[in-house]
Amino acid sequence: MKRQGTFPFAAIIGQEDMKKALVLNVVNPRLGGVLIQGEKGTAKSTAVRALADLLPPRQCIAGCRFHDDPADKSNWCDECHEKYDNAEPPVEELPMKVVELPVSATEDRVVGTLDIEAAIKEGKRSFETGILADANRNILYVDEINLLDDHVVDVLLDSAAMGINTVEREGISYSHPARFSLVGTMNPEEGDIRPQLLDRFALSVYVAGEKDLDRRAEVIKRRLAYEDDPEAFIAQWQEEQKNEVRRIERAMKLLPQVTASNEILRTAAQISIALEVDGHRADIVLIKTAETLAAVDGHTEVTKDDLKTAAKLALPHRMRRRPFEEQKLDWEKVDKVIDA
Amino acid sequence: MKRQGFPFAAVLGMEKAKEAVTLALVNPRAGGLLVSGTKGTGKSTLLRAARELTDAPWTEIPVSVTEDRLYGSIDAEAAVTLGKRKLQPGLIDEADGGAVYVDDANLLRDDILAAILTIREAGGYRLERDGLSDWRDTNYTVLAVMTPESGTLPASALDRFGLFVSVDEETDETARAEIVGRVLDFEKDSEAFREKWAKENDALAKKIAEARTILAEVEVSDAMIRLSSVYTLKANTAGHRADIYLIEAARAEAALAGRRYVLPKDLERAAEFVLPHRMRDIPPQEQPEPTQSEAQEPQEQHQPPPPPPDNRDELFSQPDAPKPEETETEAHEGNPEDKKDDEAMANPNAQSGDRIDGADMRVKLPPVWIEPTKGRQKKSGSGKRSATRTDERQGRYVRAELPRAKTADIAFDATLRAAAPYQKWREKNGLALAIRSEDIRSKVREKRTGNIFLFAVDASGSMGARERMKTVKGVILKILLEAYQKRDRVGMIAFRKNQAEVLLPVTKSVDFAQKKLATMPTGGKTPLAKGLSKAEDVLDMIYRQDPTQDPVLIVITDGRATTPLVDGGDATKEAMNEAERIAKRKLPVAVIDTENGFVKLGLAKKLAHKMDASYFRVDKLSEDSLLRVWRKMSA
Repeated sequence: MKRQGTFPFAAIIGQEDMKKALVLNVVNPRLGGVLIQGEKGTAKSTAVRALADLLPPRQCIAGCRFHDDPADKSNWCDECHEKYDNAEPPVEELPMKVVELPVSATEDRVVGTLDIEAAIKEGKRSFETGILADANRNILYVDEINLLDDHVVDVLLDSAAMGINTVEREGISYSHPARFSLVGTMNPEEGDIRPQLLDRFALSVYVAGEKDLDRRAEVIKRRLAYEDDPEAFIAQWQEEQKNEVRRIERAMKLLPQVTASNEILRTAAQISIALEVDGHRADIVLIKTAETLAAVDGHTEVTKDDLKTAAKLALPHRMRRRPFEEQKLDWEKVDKVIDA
Repeated sequence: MKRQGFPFAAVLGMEKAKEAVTLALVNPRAGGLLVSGTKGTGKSTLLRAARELTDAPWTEIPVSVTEDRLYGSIDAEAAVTLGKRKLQPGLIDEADGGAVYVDDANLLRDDILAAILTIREAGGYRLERDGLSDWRDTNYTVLAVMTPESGTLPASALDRFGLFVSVDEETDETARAEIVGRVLDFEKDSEAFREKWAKENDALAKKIAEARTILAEVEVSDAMIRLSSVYTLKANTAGHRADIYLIEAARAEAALAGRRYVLPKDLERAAEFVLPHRMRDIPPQEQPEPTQSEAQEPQEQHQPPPPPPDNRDELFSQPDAPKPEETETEAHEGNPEDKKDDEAMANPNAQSGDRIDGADMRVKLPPVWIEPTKGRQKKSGSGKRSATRTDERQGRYVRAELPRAKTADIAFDATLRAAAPYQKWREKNGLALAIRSEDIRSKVREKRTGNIFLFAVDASGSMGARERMKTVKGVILKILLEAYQKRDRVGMIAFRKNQAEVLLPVTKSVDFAQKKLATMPTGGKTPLAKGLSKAEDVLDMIYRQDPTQDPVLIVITDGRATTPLVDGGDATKEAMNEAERIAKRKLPVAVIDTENGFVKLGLAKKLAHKMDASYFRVDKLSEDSLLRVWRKMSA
């Protein structure tokens, strides 16, 4: 069943941080995803699903189960290596997808399993792909990620960090590329997310209901208009949507040319040291985010302002937790380091 | 899929970890390596990169591994197509002569990790599966990584790792910037980056290969053996494993230096990796310093699964630092704190005087405050659990078994293996495989949930007295923080005045619990029976949701019941009756007695007795042995 048109991304009011974080992940699929936290009914899921309409097409090896990138040979699956190491691979253009991982998913569906049909019909032992295979080079979306079963989280952790899914189960021994942007939504009141998984998200944003009366009314109005006549509503926003797609495509083209100076790298390191974050992911993500922001903004040299905006998205969830304290970011500290 | 990973040589810093990796690769008899550290330090990157330093086999054990792949099983494909009973070797078999890599060792099932480690020690294992029976020789080294934040390893597993290194992120600004630069370079053009580091990587690989060739010739003199014993005796290690690992690691050090004999400095360097995780408690003045070079805290050495102790101190005991929660709602009333306490003591019926206390994080938990396993054994006799277990389709598939009843959760791989050898003789109707009902195997699933801790807290006026509530909140929070790491769930019932309410539904959210706890008021009389009966309601609910759960009930009270269930009833008697009912559940229960002062009634102790519960006095909660408790529980 084809889902009827989704609520247009461009028609979502407010929630600028969330929209920005999502767009950054489209522009730079290697960024590493975003965690969206907020109370119920704040358009978290709507925004992620709406994102599907903005996703640009990209080159894939035709027929590949993991939609390998013809240009990125070091991340090819075994099958592509076997077939095309000495031949030109056939190429097809496919749009990036939002692949959903339902909270109820079982482990074998996530990592993949024994292909039962092939076993019965041909007596062959072969690998049936799971959600992680679909997710390669796509967005992996987990709604209510804090409710995900612990053992599913365990298998996500490794592929989210390393970009490879290793399967050693049910007589199957197989590994394949699984590089995805992890997008999760959650309501923090319903439970925490494990720190290790939290750390896998490049960015995190908090969303809240609109407080401004006029804007709140506008949110409702648009929603009602959409529900009344989705097609007409989508048509009305088509031009705006197209502009958004163009902006994304332009940024994607520019991204490879963006560079960060040594000074910027050092500043990122200083920020992480000042905030005492765990590990090196913070520094790396800060720079990648700043680079992507620069591309979106249309310049090729990362500026301090890019870094400031990046810090707002990349750091809040990386602060060390102390009992009785909210995970809070000391913005003054960040600003001081950047402006020094 | 071949990993075109980040090159080993390009990993900046973590010098100790690098040295340990080379030792483990040079000499598998050094017992393998466990690297522990916070997330994002590059542990996994480094160890995975080690794969390129050797030509030897390398297998990786993912957390979702099933037993057939670990040990090996019948090759179903060969059985079906060729009618032959052939072995499909398992991962530990394939690793013979090389290495087994375990990412997130603390997330792997305990029994699987134990098998990997014991088979390494034994040098082989007996395979009895799918009609195959065989002794398999296999020799490998184990390389593993863990993030202590998400759980520790059982002490027995820890001891089986020869080498241990704890890593931290780089704190030098220039180094950090360089790390980011390299990672970005690698991501932008991995081939060029790998090319750039190939020379250095190859040199390292060559060094390891050379060391391996001379390793057999490296001799250990008697004097060196004696010296190694001095080290292990000083560290007070258990058994003799440490001595062997120390000597073998020292031999690897010598081989890497191109020497054919072991020097004291080899032992000294090796000791840094061999001793830290197996040093045991000894009186502090005798605590030895096995090496002078690394400034490792002795404490840190005997408890490798951090959070590091100094960090812990920071977390738990800040006697001087003012905490926002310490502001009490009625602090503005001025001084008469003591007087009020006395009033509350004298007149627990006082209806006014609700107050909110902060949590005193200085409290220490008792050494062994509860043993969930004890209760569990008891309960398994009730026979309630197994009946419902097979219905569950959630959880990790760990192995297959002959179904005990009709099953919908078929383990197809196992079924296939069971059917495979008979295909030659069966009628197949054009399919490759004919499966009969006797072939059917069902999945055994394991759900790794933590415990549920249900607190029933007396919040009556008498608890407000003498800052008892502060202590109690401190105790609860500490347990919560541990629960958090073990992914337990926590619920809380508070009883005071005329009612008992579920203050905190069973939740994983420590944040939420903290908030609820911070605002929990005290005051009024003590409806103890009501509190206990509410606890029973919640236990029932937990059981309905998941019959496999064994919640742990912790009752915090002074045992003085003052509000009866019905007017004119005997509050104490009612409470004792409830306690007896709880005892029938055979759950692990603990009572923490908050009574203090000169005149003790000992009611909480009596209550504990009725409930068949462990009993502790809050004022005796002074020994700091969180870690021991932790280990006890995970053992």
